Amino acid sequence: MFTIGLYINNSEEKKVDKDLNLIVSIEGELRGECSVLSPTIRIEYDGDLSKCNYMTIGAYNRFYFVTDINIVRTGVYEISGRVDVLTTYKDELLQNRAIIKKSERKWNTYLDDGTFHTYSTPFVTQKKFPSGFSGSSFVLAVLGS
Amino acid sequence: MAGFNTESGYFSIGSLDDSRYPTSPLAIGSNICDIINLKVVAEGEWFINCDDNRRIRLYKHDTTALITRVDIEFQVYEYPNWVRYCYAGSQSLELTGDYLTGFWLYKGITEPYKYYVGAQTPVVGVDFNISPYELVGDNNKTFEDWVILVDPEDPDKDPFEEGGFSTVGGGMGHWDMDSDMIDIPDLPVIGAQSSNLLTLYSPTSQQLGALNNYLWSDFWEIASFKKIVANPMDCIVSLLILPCTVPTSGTREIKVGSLSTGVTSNNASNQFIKVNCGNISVKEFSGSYLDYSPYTKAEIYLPYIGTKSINVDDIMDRVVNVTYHIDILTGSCLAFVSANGTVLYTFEGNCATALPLTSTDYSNLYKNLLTSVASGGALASGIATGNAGAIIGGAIGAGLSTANSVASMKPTIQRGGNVGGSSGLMGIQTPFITFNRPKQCLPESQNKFSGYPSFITVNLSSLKGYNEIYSIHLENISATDTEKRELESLLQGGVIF
Repeated sequence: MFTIGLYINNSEEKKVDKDLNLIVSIEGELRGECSVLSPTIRIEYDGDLSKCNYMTIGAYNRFYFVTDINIVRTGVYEISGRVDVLTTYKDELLQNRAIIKKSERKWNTYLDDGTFHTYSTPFVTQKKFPSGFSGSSFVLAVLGS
Repeated sequence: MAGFNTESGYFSIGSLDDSRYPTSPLAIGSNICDIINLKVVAEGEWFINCDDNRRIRLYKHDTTALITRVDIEFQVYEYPNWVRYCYAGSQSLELTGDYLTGFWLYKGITEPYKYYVGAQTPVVGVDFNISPYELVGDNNKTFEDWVILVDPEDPDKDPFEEGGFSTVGGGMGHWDMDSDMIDIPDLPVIGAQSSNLLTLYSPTSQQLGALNNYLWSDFWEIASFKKIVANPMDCIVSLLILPCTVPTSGTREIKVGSLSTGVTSNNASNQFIKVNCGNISVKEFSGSYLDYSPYTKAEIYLPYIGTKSINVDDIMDRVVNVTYHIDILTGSCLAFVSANGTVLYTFEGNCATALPLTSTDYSNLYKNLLTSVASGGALASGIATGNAGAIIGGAIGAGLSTANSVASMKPTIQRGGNVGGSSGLMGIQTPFITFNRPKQCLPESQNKFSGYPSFITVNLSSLKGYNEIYSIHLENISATDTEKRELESLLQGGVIF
């Protein structure tokens, strides 16, 4: 049996952990060829799939972005998708280590990589030392002692 | 008998909630702990987590171990001074397969095995050493045989490891925009007439005739005096005004050559004196690279010397002191500019105003002053140096300019020339530093949309929010080659964890 989950994805495409709302989970049988990375499947469903933008195919152990939905006839849809590698391999991916170059939270602001822009109007400030020259004296130098 | 080894490592901890604090220091009030890096020397499956009370717990899952006591030694690193605090203690554990032990980073009462977290000293990391003991009856026995030593010829050893690895940092700027007013000073109250040796007159022709008769009187026929000098004024080397109080020791009679004048004067005790202008603390503004050159520039004004450019990197986040050494005989002065107690710059000048005693003296003084001005001395100012020509056709059509491009296009303007002698007496008497800092153009939530600079090694499981990966070796992922390439491409382009 072939289980397909149809969802509404509320998250951005490049988010690793998606916020998904299940529309329906459908059982069916695979007929003919079907790409694992870019599948096109035909399902029978009486409900509304106009908002469906995400799906899972249990047999392939993958998550997919819905790229196209064709209505073959009433109650029959042909759904095309492409694999969402981030969500599919999330658990394995998180076991890895990497060097990061930009981060929302783990940053070092002393690194100069051209990220920041500045206005052409600088701040000019001055800092005065607490004391300086004060008082005055004559100094007379005369030959002899 | 199964056992586990003495293990040590280091991990960083951080805050996720308060965006004002960097993630590495553990900010007060945070409830979540990040694991950034865990280095485990020995084998075993050590875990670290942090609960809501910021209690660091290390536990090992080993069903065959018979360890009943663990000694813990940990050292805490505090930002920004990296001060270490060491605690050692032991805890008894139950005879179970999971060994749960650890220590607290605690806000509040300092207790054994708990480290007090100060409001101004966020913790950035913890070193730990765990030595297992077995209690067999009344005996204590250590598992020394199980200690794994670091192989000095380990091919995996990083040659740069001793220098320390990169870490998070910054963001602790003081954002202080206060600026002191450098006022135009009042005119000096002391002058040549105050000395009572010089007086300005407007004489008549008869008065000039009387002066002439005095100068050519019998006084100059004293034989003994004429053997020493042709003119008694030759015995007076110099008369100076110095802008400071000269230390004295008692009084003495002024003698011109060997001739007593009957005039008593204070006696100057030392030829060389010191004037300490005090310290100022130069603080980072934004706590970022913008606080340093070439983005921020600094110039120091030194009385009787003038305005000098200094490298802002030398003084940033340091205590700066200016001290003068003065030779009261000549008026020569040397200004020492030091940061955190070490002298970085020395500048030379002259703080004396020479009073002319004869017409020759005056004409020489005037001539020297004109020469100084002509060569670009006291009056030379407002000269632009640097890449002034680069302003033309610089960033036009190139989109927003980064801090680097703006800094390189701005010319460096000299704010003044040499200011010594009597010019200096009319000038500002207190040193000051002028900072030229860039004004950052920061869109709201830029870190969430495109991230801030980073260059550290992390476990991806510790990441939150937007991150761009610089380099990764994807391992243990059962993806096709196409999928792996897409994964790498997405990670390098930026994803949200």
